[in-house]
Amino acid sequence: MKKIIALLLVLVMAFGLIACGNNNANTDETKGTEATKGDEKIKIAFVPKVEGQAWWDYVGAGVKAWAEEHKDVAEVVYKGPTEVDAAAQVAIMTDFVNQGVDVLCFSANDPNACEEICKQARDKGIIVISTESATMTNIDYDVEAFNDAGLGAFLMDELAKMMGEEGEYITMVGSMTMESHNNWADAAVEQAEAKYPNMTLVEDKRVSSDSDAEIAYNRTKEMIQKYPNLKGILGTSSFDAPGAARAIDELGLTGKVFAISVAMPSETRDYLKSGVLTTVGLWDPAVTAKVMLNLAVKMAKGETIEAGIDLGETGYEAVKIEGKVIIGDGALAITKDNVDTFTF
Amino acid sequence: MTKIKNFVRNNQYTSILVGLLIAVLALFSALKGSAFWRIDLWKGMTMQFPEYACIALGLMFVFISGHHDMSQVLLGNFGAILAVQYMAANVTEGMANGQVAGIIFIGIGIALAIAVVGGLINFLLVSYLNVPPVMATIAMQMVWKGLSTALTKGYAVKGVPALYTTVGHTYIGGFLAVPVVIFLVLLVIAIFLLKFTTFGEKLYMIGTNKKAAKFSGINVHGMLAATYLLSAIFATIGVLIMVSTMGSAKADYGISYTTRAILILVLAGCIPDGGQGKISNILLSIVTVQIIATGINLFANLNTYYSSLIWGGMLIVVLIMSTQVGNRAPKKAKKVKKAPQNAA
Repeated sequence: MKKIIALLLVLVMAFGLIACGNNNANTDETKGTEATKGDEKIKIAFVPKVEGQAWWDYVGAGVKAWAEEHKDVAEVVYKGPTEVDAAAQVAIMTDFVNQGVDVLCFSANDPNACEEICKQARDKGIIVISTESATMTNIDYDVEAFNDAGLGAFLMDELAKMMGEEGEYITMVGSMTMESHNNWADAAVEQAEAKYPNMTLVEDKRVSSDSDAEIAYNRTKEMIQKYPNLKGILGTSSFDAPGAARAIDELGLTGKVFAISVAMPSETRDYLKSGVLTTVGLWDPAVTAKVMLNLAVKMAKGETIEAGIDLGETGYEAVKIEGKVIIGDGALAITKDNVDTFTF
Repeated sequence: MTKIKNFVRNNQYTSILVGLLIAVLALFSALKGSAFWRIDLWKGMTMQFPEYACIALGLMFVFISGHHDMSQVLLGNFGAILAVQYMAANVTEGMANGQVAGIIFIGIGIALAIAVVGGLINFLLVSYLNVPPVMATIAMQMVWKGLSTALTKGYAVKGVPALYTTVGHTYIGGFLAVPVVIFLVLLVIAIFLLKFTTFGEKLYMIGTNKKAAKFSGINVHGMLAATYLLSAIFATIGVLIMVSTMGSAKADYGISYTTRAILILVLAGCIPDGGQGKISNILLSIVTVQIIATGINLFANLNTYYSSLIWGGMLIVVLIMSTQVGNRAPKKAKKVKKAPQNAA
């Protein structure tokens, strides 16, 4: 008898335990039934690389804001793994596919690992949209804020502004073998040759920061010694600008030597505010996410997707399409004025 | 009724787990109803659990012997990387399926050979050199990860033959997933070893009291060698199933499975203190953990952290219940090795 009581107790406790995690689940249950009554709401699952990390929490907030705005059209679930593990991410994607969502949006931890489940999803008629996974084949579209050439030109334009469109500069990459970084640097040099005749590249070889701010700092000091008239450092990896900024700051060269790269607001906030850095490049990942969702709605409604289509966000009013990759004009200049709007 | 009473009296721990499983099922049914009972969702679950269930089953032998093995997944990944590299290099387009199958089997053989090497190294470190198991296997975990990363520069290895992934995703007769069949084979092997051979009995003895086991003439070294081998081989088979899900192999795929396997075993009352562990409990535990992992994704507003919360909560409930219930009825205990709750 006691054991039966014990068993009942377990049942009650388990119920209580799970139920207390579920306060808000009840509300979305009612939402769900409404949806099935009214029907025709597009069910979208958005799977980030990971949850609980500043960058993806920022994206999550953007996705939730979009969902609130479009709650009559679509029902959005934003859920990712709790650690950066491709297997855990694929498991979540599998669950969504088997739940029968209409659209699967994601950013792959490892594009290769997602091919198989995306293939299954598309076989079931699910629309598959990715970001930062441009190499994938089993997708409908991949959305990117920019292409390599666009970002390179953007970085050079910003650097030229700081340098007054004249002077000596070098290029820095995260690693010699990093394809994207080298493409950006090539595009930047091309842009300078085409538009800024008074700017000269003094070091033909790319300077490598090994994607390490400490090495970027040391290499910047070396370069400043080697080229006393050096005025600009065009970095690519997110470690380049913070490392270079530390060197510029220590050598008291603020306002004489300028650096730029793609960078995280959290790592450059202080330098931007103190004026060592004027601008760093980035894109707004929440905007990219919203573009994916807008695209999802358009595709679910059966609209044709073609180059020049307006995907409803700044920088994506007339997107380019290369194969399966949708490219916006989403490169963003982060300065001391807007750095605090980013929570990562 | 008396039958149930007797079952509950004799299998208290199992009863608790059955109760929990029923509670979880009831809760998800109540909150999500038809969405939870979708056939696709359940078929999806059968595709997902074998990966880590094989790993957990391997770890079970080690736990019963009172040891620990943290190196499983990363050892498996190293073997899988070599296997996929071999397959990718030797399978050419237009090859007959029979030929491809041959190459796949050799690839699998390579991975299993690595598992044997890895298992033996763990055994030598732990048993002959007396390094504490947790530390030795964490060190080996790093070694395997380092080797894999060095070999692949951290990238995923692509080129898994289509035949491999297709077979891995086949439902025999429309419902029985191939990975489940593989898991069932390992399960039968495990049951056979533990219940029908002296290996099982000796293993529980070593786990309960290593010294006593040694003095009673058991070849402890030999037993531990077999244990670590089983752990490595079972885990590698789990990783090979994962390779078909991911369509590639990588140094850090499935790192979250290390903790998932431990969770399953501890929830099932199979703790690394040794001498305890019952296969039926482990099965219940696997099923419950998978249902929660998938069920949680049905709730739009619950992020995946809640599954950790629920698992943690369940663990506490089970531990409290088992110590409370276990202390009351030691007189009805059957053979010591089959009554894990009484050993405490």
